[in-house]
Amino acid sequence: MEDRTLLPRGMVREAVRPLDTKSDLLLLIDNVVDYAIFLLDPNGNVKTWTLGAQRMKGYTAEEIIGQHFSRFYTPEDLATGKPDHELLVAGEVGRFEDEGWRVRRDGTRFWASVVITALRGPDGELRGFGKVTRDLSERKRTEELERELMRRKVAREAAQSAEERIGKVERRQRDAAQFLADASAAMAESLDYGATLRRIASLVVPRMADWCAVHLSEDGAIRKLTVAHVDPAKVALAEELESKFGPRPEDAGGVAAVLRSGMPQLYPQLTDDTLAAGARSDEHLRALRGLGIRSVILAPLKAHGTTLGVITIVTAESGRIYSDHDLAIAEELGRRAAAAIENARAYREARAAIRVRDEFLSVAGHELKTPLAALQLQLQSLVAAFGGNVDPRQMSKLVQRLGKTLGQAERLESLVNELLDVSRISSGRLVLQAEQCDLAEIAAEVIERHSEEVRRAGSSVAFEQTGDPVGSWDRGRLDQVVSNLFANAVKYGSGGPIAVRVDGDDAERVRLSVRDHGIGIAHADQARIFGRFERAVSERNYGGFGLGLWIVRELVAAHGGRVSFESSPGEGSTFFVEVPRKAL
Amino acid sequence: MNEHNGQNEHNDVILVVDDDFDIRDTLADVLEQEGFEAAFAADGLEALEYLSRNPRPCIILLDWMMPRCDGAAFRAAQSRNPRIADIPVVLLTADVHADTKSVAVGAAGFLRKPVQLSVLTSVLRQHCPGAVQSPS
Repeated sequence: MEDRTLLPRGMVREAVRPLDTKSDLLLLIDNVVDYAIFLLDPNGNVKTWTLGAQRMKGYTAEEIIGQHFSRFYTPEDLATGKPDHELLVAGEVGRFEDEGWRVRRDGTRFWASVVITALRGPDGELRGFGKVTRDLSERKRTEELERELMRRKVAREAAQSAEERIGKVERRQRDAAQFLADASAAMAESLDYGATLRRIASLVVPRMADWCAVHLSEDGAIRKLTVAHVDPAKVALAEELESKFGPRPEDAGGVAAVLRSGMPQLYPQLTDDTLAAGARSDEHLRALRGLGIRSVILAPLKAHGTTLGVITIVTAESGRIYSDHDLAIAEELGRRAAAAIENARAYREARAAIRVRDEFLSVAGHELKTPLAALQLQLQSLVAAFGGNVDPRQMSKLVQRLGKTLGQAERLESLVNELLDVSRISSGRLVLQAEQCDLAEIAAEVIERHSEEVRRAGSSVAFEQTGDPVGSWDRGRLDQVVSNLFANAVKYGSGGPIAVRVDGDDAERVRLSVRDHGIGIAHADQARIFGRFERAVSERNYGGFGLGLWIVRELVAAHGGRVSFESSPGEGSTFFVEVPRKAL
Repeated sequence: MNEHNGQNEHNDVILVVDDDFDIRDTLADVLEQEGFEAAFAADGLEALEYLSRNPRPCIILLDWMMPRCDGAAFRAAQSRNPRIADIPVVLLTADVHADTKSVAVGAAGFLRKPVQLSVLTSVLRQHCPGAVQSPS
């Protein structure tokens, strides 16, 4: 049985007679549909033509025979001299193979595989070329389709992957935004920033970290506020580590460095070297290694350029590696936490200020009511007693008692002035009237004016003056300074002797001291006695607004001078005033 | 005066305890004007001192805020001493919480500074019916 599969289908039916090799070969050449097989003369002119060639290229034998084969080529190929090049190569090496665009008679193009074979006679003479062209358009189309499909697939996959990546970024950003929003909400929950930062730490773990610690800088020390980890046992371990090896202000790196620089630190992959550099001892290093730390971020809690603390976030078990993105989130978290701390502190200060003010108002009310009570009783009693005719014999009594009401009115006036002084000084509206005056003279007047109180207190006054204590000052205000200090000495002097000394020996400055031997000032109170609305005697038992020393300090400062004191509880106090002669 | 003459154990003196000189001075004038006899102490310690040496007053007008020994400390000391524990005490103070403090220390009442003369005399007459002499 013949192996029909070797022959084109069309030929099988006709293969009923024995094959005439030559004519049947021509028949084969003519009938091969997908191939154009023809001969070129040595110059490249078409010598033979077939039906297959006609089908493929659209030329009839009459049209094409004798024509140069270059007309099958595209103008681009003609421009580069490709047909001649192909013949040259085929002539040189015997064969030229190519795949490329060819042009049909109607100008349309098809993708062709071309083999040009040099045909030489027995003497080696070039007799021409055999050219076999195969229309690969279908294959090309299929390939192109496949390529297009592949390209689309790749593009789709790329798009998918890009989408995924974009989705991931978006999701990450959304997560970050949500996380920060949650943190902000937590911060708004409470004005106790300790509680707030603990809440934030519990948000950071486990959403962003396996560990989170917050440290605050307070009075030059570093205070650990919180440590969080999902595992309570690990928290205990961290607390222990913290108590043994917690950050110290003098540390070269870590929390202390971030506190100093205000710059965040990111260790995407913490190395053992870094760990070793930060460890304080072998025990510390072993403990740090035991934590299995992978990635670390230290972000400053920064508000108004001040670094209030540091939030440290660490990954270990999760194996997560921090990126710049995480650093940005941590920094933002730090900024928001710092703002929360600032708010809480401002709130606390405002609360304290309001409490001090309320206490002051209570004291002020009490102080104003006392002379008012005396004044009112005296006047009501006077009206009752002298409402009708005044007995001339009672006249001196009446005048005496009216004098007392005047005293009460003056006392009220001085209290009101004191309040107005605070307002004037606080708002910077204090105006000093310069005149040449003598501090010794002022002191002597003050002592004289308080002689009744001194007598009542059972005290005695020793006054001493040296040199020439004159200067250019506001006389009324310096009188107020000396009055306040002297009245305090009488009030808190426990009836002991009071010494007033004015020293005018120095060419530039004049000094005054007022010394008592009374209750003194407790060490704990010494720092705040010059504060506004403050007084050392907290029970408010000694009368007055408690504004006196604050006013004294402000008035002396307005003269370019200063006030100081020495005091021992139970032994008394000495106040010193020093003012430049040419103050104003 | 005889402070222990059986039927009239009261001395009909009003004891004013106040650290403010002007208040003491004014009350001296006013109470004298109203026909009361008064004694004065500048704080709780002075008041206890007075009570230890003098006949029982019919009433004590007690200021609240005083140095050394304030109203509360005075009341504590007074209640520990049976001889003077039952002398009625009326707080006379500018303290805004005079009412609750009065209850807290078991005072007979309280008067707020500034006090109306009529209110003051009415309270004094109530506690010291025999104290009023002829007004001057």
